[in-house]
Amino acid sequence: MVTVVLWISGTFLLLQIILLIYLSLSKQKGIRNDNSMIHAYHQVLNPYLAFLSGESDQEPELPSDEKTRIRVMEKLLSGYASNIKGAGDQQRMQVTADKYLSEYYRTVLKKGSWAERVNTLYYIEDFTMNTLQTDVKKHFFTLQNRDEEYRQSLRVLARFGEKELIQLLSEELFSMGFIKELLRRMPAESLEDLKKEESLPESVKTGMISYFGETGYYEHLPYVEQHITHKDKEIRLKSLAALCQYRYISSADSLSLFLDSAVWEERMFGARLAGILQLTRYSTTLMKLAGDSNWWVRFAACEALKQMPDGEILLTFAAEGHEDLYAREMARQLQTLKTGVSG
Amino acid sequence: MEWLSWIVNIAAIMIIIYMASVSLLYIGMFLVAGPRIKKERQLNREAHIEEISMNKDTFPISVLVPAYNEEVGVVSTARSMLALNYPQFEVIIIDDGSSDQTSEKVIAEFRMKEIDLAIRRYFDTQPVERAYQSTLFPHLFLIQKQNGGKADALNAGINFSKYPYFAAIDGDSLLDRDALLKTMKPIIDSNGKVTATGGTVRIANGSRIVRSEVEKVALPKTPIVLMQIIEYFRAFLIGRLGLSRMNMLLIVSGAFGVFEKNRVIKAGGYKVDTVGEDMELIVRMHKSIKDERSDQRIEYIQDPVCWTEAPSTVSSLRSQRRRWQRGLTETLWTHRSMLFNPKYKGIGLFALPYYLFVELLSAIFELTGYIIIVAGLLFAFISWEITFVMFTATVLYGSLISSLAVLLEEWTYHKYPDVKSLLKLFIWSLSEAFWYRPLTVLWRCEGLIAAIRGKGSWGNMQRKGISEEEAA
Repeated sequence: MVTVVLWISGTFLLLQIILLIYLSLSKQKGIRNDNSMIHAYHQVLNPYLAFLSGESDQEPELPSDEKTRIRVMEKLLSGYASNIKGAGDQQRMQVTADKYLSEYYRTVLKKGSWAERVNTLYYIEDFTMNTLQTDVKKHFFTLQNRDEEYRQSLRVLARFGEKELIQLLSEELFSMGFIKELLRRMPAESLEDLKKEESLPESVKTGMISYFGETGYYEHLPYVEQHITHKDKEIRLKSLAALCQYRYISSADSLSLFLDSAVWEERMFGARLAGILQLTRYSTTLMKLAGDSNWWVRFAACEALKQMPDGEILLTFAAEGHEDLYAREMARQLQTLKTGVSG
Repeated sequence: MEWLSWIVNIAAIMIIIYMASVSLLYIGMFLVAGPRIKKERQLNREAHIEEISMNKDTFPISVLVPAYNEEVGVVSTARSMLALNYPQFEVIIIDDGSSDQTSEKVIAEFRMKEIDLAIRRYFDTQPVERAYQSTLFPHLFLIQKQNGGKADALNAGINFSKYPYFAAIDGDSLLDRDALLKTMKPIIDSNGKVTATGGTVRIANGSRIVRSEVEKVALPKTPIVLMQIIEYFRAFLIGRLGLSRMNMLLIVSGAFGVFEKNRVIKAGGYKVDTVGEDMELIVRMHKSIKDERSDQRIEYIQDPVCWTEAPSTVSSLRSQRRRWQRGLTETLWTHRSMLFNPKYKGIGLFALPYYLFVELLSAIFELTGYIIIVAGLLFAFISWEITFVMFTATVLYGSLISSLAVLLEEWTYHKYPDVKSLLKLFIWSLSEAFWYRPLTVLWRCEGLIAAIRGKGSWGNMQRKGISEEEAA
């Protein structure tokens, strides 16, 4: 018994010593690599930025060690990518990224670890390395798990306007949020192609409508308005929300339909839109909605009253004379509350 | 005398079997947690959250900061919250009837103005007396209410909040700038399937924190705090990640967690008559999820997102451990019907029994072990040789688990600037079984007794404040 325990203890001790040596060595190596990368980066930063921006024709010498060179280039181009000003800058970044990184990225996509592959996909998108589009597409079709690697591959393909993506959107079930991530990256032609598709799932339609509201581009407005009477409630609500962002509706009369709706979200968006557009003809309805059974409708109605040209008077009237206690409370809150969002 | 020796022997064998089983369980959880951490080891964390940091669809969050007599740290906590990198959020400080200058400090610092209230009442709480909004930051609010405890303060905060998700944070904690983005990512990626998330809580003592931001990570000089750092690594990186991967996470730290408001409302909010309201809520959320046959999950992320000041004196650590143990006892007692109940699957059959036998009763088993060893040596019914061998095995095993936790921490965060810090952690972990472990075992047993008898409190400790206001 004692011998067994001693053996086990010895094993624990040995494991611990191995672990300690491994950690110390890898920590030292990590610190050394980081330092040499940071040193090389600071050395080439200014001359290389001058070269990238076209101020200098002479390409500065990069570190001879391949790993350091790749890390320096990634750090350099990441900073550069977030400050790009025009097509020329973009072009030079793409050319440089292709020259130093594309071969390495091809290898990583085939043989790298999960984290390396995901990082590479982030960089491919950031540096708009569209020469790797086919490689990313091939890689995408080999993926089994719907994790970050899967999502980032799709984002890259969306950025490059991959044609097969539209078919994929019609067939696969994605969340609306993720669909919007893809839409934000798609070129204008892909969006027009998508609008022509008739058999799109609800999540894609709501994603499109919501995204169009976000952009505020008038070329998408008819598509949004055409869906405010859609039979699907979610699509109707997204259209109303998008119109609030557009701050526009072709026919203000159609709002009464929503202000009287049995669906509280429609009453809320109706009230919000009436306020945004300062439609005084709905003031009486809004006053009634200030006493709605739903908190959000009450909030939207009082907020809308506040936005009217004589908003302060209306709100004071609601705060003091509304028959409903909740309406009075809400109006009082809106009188003192400064509406604001975080930044 | 022979019968006594027989009883002691049986007890000793049982304790050895128990300790061996717990050890195997820990190794098992390391094997579950380790690959996940290794997989994400080199992931570019900034790029990973870049998308949601700019995305207009990122769910807005209400950050709830309950505070009771937190005049020392409340302003730096609020500043740390305001500096968070997140598209849309509000910060609500809930002063739970403090007798010090908590509210006055916040009102003066952020130029707050009183606002009228139209609060929705999801839960009954102690009366809310006043609400204020900052004139400098329109998304910063302060509500003053009568004292009702931390859980009651959080419930009042939920009533006041307007966003669909909320983050609950202790008044003395500091959040990493990207904390909300990192903790919300699993919720956003899963399109709401994940209903609550918690991240790793780190001890800030020893690190340099300027203007509510961690500037340099370093180890503290006090051994009692150093041991807690090792303990936190073990608890978070092995225990919680292991359980989370099996969808059996039962604790999202009270120091920082993000929750879907609807799910918390369905579960009934925070329970006000327990000191372990954070764990109790999670168990109730699991119950509500299982009762509804929903496929929602509660997840833990390994990223360090929250910094907290650990107790640096024996008395405050003792009070903290007694409170934790009491909270655990009360939660397990409240939800005893879920224990071994196949209806609750992993939660009923593994997670709750794990917390009962490993986290709660281990204190009793260990204390019995210590008593047997000491008494056995004094009255000579255990040989010195056997005692020495068993003790060596325990020390080495304990430190091996701690070393593995240090390895996981190096894989996830690797922010200690030198090899010396790692060596220091290693060496201190060897000393745990000689002083730190027996002390905490004793306090946990006290907590267990207090749970059977006592009553609740905020369990405050004297804060020194962890943030320097001016850069030196």
